[in-house]
Amino acid sequence: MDYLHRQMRHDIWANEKLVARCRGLTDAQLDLTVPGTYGTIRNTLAHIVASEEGYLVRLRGKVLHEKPFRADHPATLDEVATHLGHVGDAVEQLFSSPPDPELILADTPLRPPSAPRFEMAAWAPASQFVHHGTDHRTHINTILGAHGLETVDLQIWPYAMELGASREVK
Amino acid sequence: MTTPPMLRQLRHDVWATEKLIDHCRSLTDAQLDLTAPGTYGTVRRTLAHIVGGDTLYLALIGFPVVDPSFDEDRLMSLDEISAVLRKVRAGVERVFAVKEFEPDRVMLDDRTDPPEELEAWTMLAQFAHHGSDHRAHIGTILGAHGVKTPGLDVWAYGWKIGAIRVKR
Repeated sequence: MDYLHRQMRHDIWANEKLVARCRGLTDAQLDLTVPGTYGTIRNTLAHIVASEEGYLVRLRGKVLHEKPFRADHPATLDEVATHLGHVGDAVEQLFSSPPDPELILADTPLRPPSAPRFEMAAWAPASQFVHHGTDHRTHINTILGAHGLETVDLQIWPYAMELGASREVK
Repeated sequence: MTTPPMLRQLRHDVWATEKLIDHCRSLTDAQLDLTAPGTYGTVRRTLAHIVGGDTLYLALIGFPVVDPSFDEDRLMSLDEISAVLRKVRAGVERVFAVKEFEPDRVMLDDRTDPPEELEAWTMLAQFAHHGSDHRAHIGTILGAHGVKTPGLDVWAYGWKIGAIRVKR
């Protein structure tokens, strides 16, 4: 299987685990933050998923749905989970015919026509998707830990165990 | 021959850690010993832990780059951490230079009891995850103490190597 596909699946798994963890928090806890992180837990979750939709729009050259999801309002966890579902579907569609990582992509269709346009190799937004998710999930775990709340192990190890790609030798 | 995306990602990871170390060279010893609640530890220890993890993951797939007695918990200078990272960078290139990397090859990790079998791709995915995770901790510590943080994402790397550019 394609390496980037595996990594994106891990990313989605980690987001789902984190959203599930956050369902055990109160509204006030979802609005916690600490200095040096992106913002509140709620806004950071929305930012992760909105950005992932954006990377996938760039990679696929078409929008995922009519109105882009923006992290410009206090999103509910249900809203985040819904868009995480869109991300999961789009990742599977993308890799049903794996993209050439060196393919030069024209700019995102979401960029206004009058704005400067950029081009990039396909591996760049795919790698950024993975890096960005880890970066901001770490912010959320930092916020949880700083406030004495239980954090979630989102590394590759527990994912690999669940997947059967890692196992104890009998 | 195209560059494998796995190698692209590991090159970004090593570049980001190098850039962060360079940034940290402008900090005082006291700033290197700063930390923040919810992170791994001090800036200095976190940097050492990142490169320590890198060496472990490479060793687990059969590409050791440091002596087995290497101890990331020893208090290291930025120069020492940087020297280890140079070995990591060379090790990463070796993984993909020898022959095509086999991501599904099953490796044995006998550090645990009972030992574990792991598919090789999991260790390189963990390499990238672990680096991003702990560099984020350092970004939080620096930000929390009002110290500037460098851009370490793939966009910054892509611009640097010319993989992202203004369309003419």
